[in-house]
Amino acid sequence: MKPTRTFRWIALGLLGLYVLIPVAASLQFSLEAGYKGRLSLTAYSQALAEAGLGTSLLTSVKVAAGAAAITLALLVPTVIFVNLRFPRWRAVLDAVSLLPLGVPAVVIVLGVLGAYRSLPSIITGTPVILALVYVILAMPYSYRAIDASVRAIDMHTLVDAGRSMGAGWGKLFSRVLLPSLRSGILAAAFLTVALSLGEYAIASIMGFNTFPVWLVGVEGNNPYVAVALSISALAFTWILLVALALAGSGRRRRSRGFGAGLVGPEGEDEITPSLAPEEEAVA
Amino acid sequence: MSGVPATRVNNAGRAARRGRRPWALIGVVPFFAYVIIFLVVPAAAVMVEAFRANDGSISLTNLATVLSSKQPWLHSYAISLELSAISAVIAAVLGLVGTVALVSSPSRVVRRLVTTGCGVLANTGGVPLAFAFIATIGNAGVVTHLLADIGFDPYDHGFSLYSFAGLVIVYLYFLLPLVILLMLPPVEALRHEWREAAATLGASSRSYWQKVGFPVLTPPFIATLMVLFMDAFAAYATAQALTTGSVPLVPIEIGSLLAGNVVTNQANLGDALGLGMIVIVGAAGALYVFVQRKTARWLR
Amino acid sequence: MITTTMATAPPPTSAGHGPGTHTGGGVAVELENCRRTFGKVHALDGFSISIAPGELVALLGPSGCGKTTALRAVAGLERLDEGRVLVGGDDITDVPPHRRNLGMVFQAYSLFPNMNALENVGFALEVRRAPVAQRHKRAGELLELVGLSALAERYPHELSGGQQQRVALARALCAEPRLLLLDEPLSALDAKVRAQLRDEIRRIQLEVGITTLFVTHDQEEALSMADRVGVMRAGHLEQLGPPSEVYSNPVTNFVAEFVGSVSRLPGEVVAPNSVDVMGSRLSIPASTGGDLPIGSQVDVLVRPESIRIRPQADGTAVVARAAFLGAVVRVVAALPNGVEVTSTLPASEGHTLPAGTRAGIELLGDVLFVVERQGSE
Repeated sequence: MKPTRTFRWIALGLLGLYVLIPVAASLQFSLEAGYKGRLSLTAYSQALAEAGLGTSLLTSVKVAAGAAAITLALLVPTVIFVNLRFPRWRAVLDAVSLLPLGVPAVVIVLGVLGAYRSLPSIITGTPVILALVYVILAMPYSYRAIDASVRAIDMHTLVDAGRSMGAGWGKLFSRVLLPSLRSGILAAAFLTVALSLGEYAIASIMGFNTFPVWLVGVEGNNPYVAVALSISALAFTWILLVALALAGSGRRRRSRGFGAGLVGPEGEDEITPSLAPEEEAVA
Repeated sequence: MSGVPATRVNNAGRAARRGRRPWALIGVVPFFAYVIIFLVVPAAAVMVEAFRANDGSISLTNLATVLSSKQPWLHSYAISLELSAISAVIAAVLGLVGTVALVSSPSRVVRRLVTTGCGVLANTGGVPLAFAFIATIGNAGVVTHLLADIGFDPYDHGFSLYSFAGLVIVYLYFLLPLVILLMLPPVEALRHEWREAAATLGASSRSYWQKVGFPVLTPPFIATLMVLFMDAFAAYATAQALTTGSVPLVPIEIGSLLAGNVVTNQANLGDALGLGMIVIVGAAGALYVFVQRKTARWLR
Repeated sequence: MITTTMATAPPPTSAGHGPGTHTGGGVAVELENCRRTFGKVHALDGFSISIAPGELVALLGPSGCGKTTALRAVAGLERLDEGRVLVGGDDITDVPPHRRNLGMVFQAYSLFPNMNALENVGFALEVRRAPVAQRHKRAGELLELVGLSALAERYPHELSGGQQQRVALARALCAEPRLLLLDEPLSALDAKVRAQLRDEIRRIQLEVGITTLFVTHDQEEALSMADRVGVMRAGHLEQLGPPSEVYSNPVTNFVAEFVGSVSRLPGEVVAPNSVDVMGSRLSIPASTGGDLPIGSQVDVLVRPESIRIRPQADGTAVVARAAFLGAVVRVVAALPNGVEVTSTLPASEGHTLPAGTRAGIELLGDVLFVVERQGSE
């Protein structure tokens, strides 16, 4: 049963339509802004003037940056350390990094509010807590990205070579390890940022005015503006993710077996979920 | 050229040396500490608080309330489960068709395009997605108007985006790409040699799929279903942005309780609901792990 | 690289005598004028062959010569643009693969991963809806035939490459096919396993008595296993004959050079059927090129075993290099005009010809082939 060309074209074509129609419709919706047949950028200019856009965007960006920073600071040393010294713990870390997938965001926020209610409000009362929690939400993806790029380089050899030439750990880290892990680090950062910018549940329940939260508020007043902003946000995230995917395609890896980057034992350095045991990295 | 002993990277030696210094494990402490603080403790808190009555004592009141048929909560679970299951199954079936179509494409460009696209779309969701669909098939949506112009306004015929059905349609948007990404490796791993060998052994196409193809694809398919189910079940933003509570889903109810739309003696009810979510998602996760292990052995 | 004994067994006769392995002898197979083009490539170009019942024919050739396409055409996995395939007299050209009742062994990875060895072997019977007991019994017999009864419960991923191929062979034979097709079954295996399995396959084939078509790019395999070897090139057969004939009496230059190794010696045709090579006169039958016009500059192809290189203080040749290959030493000597000749010596004598030694070249035995020299160096 070899799928025929017609079948293939129809199937992929329908899929493509399903994906593109909402995008096209959003564009048209926002450009028409209620006046059928007449396209204009009114909705967009109104969007830019909308009260709260600046502050909410800023909040989101700060949270995203914070989450990315914490993610890298936490995961990169850990992954390097484990790969260098305790390779058998890799499986454990791997499994642990997947735990957040088993706990819905609402439950996390429920638990955070319940357990840390009494903490100083500088943590729980400001968006700092968001950044801290987003690190967890992004962990299945960011861990994988970093782990994959660590796997792809022969770290032992690099470290041995560096040490034999007298490099201290600091130099080793900054001049040898980090540069070789660049793609994984970038991937992890991008993924965390993408996730943080779009996260709604925790932010809204905790009452912070991040961009998505603010956006929902706007919808009630002016749906055209809301859609215009939505499509822009989508475009931005998409461009981010596509850039990531293209950058990651520099390293071709052949793999077999089942497993999403979310859920398999091995990782990949792209957003595309990946494939289990037999990867061959082209370093 | 003798005299030079073969040198091998002495990883075993390294590990042995390190094994004698287990205190060096301190390096993983930050990671575990972080996960404990921000994941394990909150999850545990939810599970513990579920068993706490308003006066602080341990009791099963909350659980009883949730499971009571006089209360709306069981209904919410039912709706959530239905929504997740239906979206998962539809996405899985359609996605499998899409995957098969994609794998049969000889063009590397198409495959790369679709794969990257799926990677991006699988991470798309929440508020922007909801609004995009509102713009498409909301009651003032572009497609709605188009259909109305040709005489068939779906809203006149009982359809509404802001309903269960609407949610399924929207959920498909990020579930379908996920299916393709997850099922691509197993479908690609279906070696053409199997099909050919089966043919030479007398198996028609149907026999092949029945005896080899589908059995080999079933574990990954189930695993995919689990992932989809978990994803859909836990989804909050899309549902909230779209239906603002009109469709009673468990995550929405929890959010609502937390936002203060709460009757005072239901303080820990949210936790009980959360416990239920953990149990359900946990069960799906366990099934996933079980099926995964089986697959990994086969598709080596 | 030394071909020693070659199987020159006459086509074996019928019925196998193994425990219920195969009933009746094999059938004859014919391909008539087959043509298959992929875009601009002529994979098969007027390819015809006749295989006798119970015979093992090896198709040998470089990659791209069409041997695999030919095999797959017989299996029905590849359609033909032109030509016919006949098995046992029946024209099966338009019959879909699953109705042809053939057995095929692929290069690798063909065992079904979701079934253990026993179930894999019994698959053909399962498809024909035979009862389980019968399937298991037959599968058990075949596993014993290939020596793997102990591994019946194992899954493919728990078997080594060699074991997998044995199971694949047992599986192919399960439903008593009329014809056995082997598509480079040993290419993916280690050298040692390959040698072992080679003999196994031949033994089983003879025991069962089934007509077999075997595709390989490895000469040793072809020469040692086959009743007849078909050397292919660019989609057609250059020569078909018993291994010894293909080796010693090539009918074309390509076959001469492809099978085994040759040295090329420059010479000149001085009389009908007579060539002057480095001062000696050799008589060359017309069939191997001795009928070229007088005065033609030719290259005379000879096998290493037809050349003797001996240390000779006043010899005109000089040993260029000597490679120790374990049992033998391969010596390459350079003639004054730069041409190199290759010969082999038993290891015990190899030490007499280190590089740099002056040596004398002697031509023994037959010349393999004579070709007109192309252009100038």
